[in-house]
Amino acid sequence: MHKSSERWASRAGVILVVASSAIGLGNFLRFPGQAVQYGGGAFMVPYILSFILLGLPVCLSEWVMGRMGGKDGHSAPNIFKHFLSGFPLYVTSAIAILIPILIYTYYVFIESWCLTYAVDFLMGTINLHPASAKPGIEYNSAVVATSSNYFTELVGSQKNGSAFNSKIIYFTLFCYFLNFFLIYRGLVKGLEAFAKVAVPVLLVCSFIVLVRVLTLDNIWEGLGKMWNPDWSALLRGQVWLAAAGQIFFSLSVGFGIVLTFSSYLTERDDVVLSGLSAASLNEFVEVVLGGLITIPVGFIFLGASVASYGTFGMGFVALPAVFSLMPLGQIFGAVWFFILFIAAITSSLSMIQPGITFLEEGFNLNKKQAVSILSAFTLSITMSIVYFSKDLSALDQTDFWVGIFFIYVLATIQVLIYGWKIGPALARIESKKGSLMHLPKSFDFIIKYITPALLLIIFAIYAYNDLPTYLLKMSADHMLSIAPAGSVPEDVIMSAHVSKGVFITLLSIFILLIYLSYKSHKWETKK
Amino acid sequence: MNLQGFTIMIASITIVTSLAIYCIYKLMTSHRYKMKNPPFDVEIT
Repeated sequence: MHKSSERWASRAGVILVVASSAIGLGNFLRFPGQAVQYGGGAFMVPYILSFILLGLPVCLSEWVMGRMGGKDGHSAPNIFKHFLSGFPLYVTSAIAILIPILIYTYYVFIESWCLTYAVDFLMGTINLHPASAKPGIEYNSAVVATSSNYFTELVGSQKNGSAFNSKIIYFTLFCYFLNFFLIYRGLVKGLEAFAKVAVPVLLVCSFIVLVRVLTLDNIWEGLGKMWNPDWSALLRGQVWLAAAGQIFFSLSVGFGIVLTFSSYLTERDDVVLSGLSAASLNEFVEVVLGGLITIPVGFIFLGASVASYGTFGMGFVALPAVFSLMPLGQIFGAVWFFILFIAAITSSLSMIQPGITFLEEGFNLNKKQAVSILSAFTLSITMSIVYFSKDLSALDQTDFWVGIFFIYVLATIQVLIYGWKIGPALARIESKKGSLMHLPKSFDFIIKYITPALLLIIFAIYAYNDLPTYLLKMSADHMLSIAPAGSVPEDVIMSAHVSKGVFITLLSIFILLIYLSYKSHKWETKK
Repeated sequence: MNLQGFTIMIASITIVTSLAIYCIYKLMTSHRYKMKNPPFDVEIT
């Protein structure tokens, strides 16, 4: 395996790339939805505790481990070979490469929704006003219903294959190739240059929308819906679980992305302050911008029902309706969905880099070859997800298995390596190299005992609560029950078997690829 | 919006904003220091 000689051009660049990777739709849509559902202002208590005990430790451990492992290369196998060997090395590396690649395949589809809405609002081609309703609460409900129908038709969630007859397919392909074009430009000219423009644009646009929202009539009622605390919520375990989950996904830890990016740093470069800066920028966007815009504006126009929408419902049904009802909503709707698009593309862009790096280092490919192979591979999966759009089932399945299950597994492995394999003492020495800030002593205890325990508990509860549901969705009986009339039962049963085996098959393929890349280059794993 | 909600909102915004400003301050002050010393092992290709 050869080592890429690319390096970050500046410290601000790497911080902005990592922060923009973490800032995504979850900051603007998921966080406010979770907060209002789980205790309003009271949600901030478990949220901040989770940030300190779970988010920051995992985040900082990734920065330190990435730089430690980046001495021989920047792909997951090159990084993890410093800490693991044999089969555990192959499996962990395969998961670390597979997670961002597979998340990219469906995230780019969601990204295209944002761009479509931004263009629709800008061009005035979205009309959610029903012709026959009169102004009032019923009128607002009718606008929401129209918005829901618009979304369903746009993404093709009424029937498999219908997304290919919608304009969304063109936007998906555009987003798809834009991502690969930017990644082809390289670490500095592509990722870093784009993040340096995208993050300021995102912040400026967000403040424009924030000022508009804060100057609306009845804004205090909207803010009250978001922030008035329900202290009794703290007695429910589910609230603590939701807060931990939100922090975990918000910081994008356990994706294998930070590991790759920090591997491009040298021992003269800081990791602790850089990691903290990226995390704090993400939290600023989430709490200040996400917390003050989404729910307050939704409550003002749609009332208490705004709390009942999920992440997609909030983002692509409720908020388009809100902007349709708001004075100057066409402009602010366009700006808002442009913000979401920027947040999404900066995240999706960073998801491709680990796969590209692996192909370059593992198989001695040049950038052009690596980009071509990965784009062809991911395009085939993305098109499958777009095709199986009924109730967004393929997207939902991929999100659960990759976006939750694999991420928890990888984060737990990383924290266990940091706390028990490397050891906090040695890791502390490593973290001090080039550091502009030192880790507090308490970090050692937290990363060794508290964080792994919390991760395992959360993982167990998630698995207990959600695993049976998702396994059921893959069963032949369930697929037969939702199959359209006239479907051949044998084909439906075959589809069930395929959906059960697809993630295991992909993981197996990547394990094999990593094994082959090791063998072909006669790698020696470091003991 | 009640007083508790307002207090939590202001406290939350203050915490995350202070953390972000502190990090920016540390980075900027260290940047000046690093300018006097080689800041990065830059090997752009």
